[in-house]
Amino acid sequence: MSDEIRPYRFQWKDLGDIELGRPNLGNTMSVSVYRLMQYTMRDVLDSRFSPETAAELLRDAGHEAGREFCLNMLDTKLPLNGFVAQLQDLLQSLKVGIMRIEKSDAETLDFTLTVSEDLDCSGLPVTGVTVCEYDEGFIAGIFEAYTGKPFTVREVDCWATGDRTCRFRAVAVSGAGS
Amino acid sequence: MKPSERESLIALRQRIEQLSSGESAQAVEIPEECDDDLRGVVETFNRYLSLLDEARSFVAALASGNLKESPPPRNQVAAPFKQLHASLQHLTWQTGQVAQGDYSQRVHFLGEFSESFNSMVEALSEKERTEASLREARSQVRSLEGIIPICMYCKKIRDDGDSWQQLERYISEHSEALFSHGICPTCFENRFNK
Repeated sequence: MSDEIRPYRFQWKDLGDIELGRPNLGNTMSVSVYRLMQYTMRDVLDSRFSPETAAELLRDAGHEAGREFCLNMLDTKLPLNGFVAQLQDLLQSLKVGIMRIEKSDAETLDFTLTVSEDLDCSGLPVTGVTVCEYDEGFIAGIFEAYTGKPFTVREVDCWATGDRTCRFRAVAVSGAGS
Repeated sequence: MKPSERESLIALRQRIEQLSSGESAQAVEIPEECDDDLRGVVETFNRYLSLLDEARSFVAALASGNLKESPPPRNQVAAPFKQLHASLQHLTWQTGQVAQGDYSQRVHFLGEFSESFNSMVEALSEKERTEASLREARSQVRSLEGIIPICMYCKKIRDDGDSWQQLERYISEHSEALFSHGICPTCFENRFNK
């Protein structure tokens, strides 16, 4: 038997059959435990590499999660308005957060949206530093999988900077993609 | 306490009284020779004053319906108003979507407003569905209108293609009416009792 660690590539089926595996505890858990994993992961990445690299890695992970989430959980054939409504409903029913669109331009694919009561930072102590790189990647991954165009997503306001809600600007990178 | 420090303390008290009565206030000057503790208090007060000014200016714009005024960044004094601003921006977007005929959006967790807004969108959506059904039903109903050219002798009717059709055929093609053929008493008399 070999102890070799093989390279890993995520597949949706790796999430497993949760109903089968957790017949008594079910499909939900404490937000604190989610945050415990996320922030200890950030701690290790930050210490091993640098704050910038940690942010980049978390963003990349969020991006992959967003893409897979979109392709496996959302109907990408819906028109934009229906897709946004569906995304809003799903994020709410899965208790990820309350997403609200503030501005949208279907021509230039430029969106401003807020996520309140989100998993990552709502209720965090105010440190003056935005912490939602994972969410930035997650939103970019969703929009990219839906539109087929690369997106840049940046968090404009964050709970951790005293803004009470997380506001993101998502813009399609012009001249790129299909 | 030095006279300049005493002046700073008096100024601080005045500023706090001004703020308590809803007036705006100027920053307090820090005297050159000043106790460190007092300096700390004045600096903290001035920082708070600056945050308060920013928040006031933002809230004044918000109160007049100006949502384009950006919320002051990193300002916790204005935090609840930033939340209100975000909600209003979202409602503005939602209303715009409804105006464009997008009834798929819903407002969540904004109290009674959510219920009223969502009821309104559902009612509008239902109204549009009803109107569409009526339009569809109306398109099924054909009617004869206007002046119909008819031959004064044989009673054939001239159609749009300039050809002449039997009266029954023309009416059947241009309305929901059908014909069943019979004989009226006059024709019966003329034809069979000569």
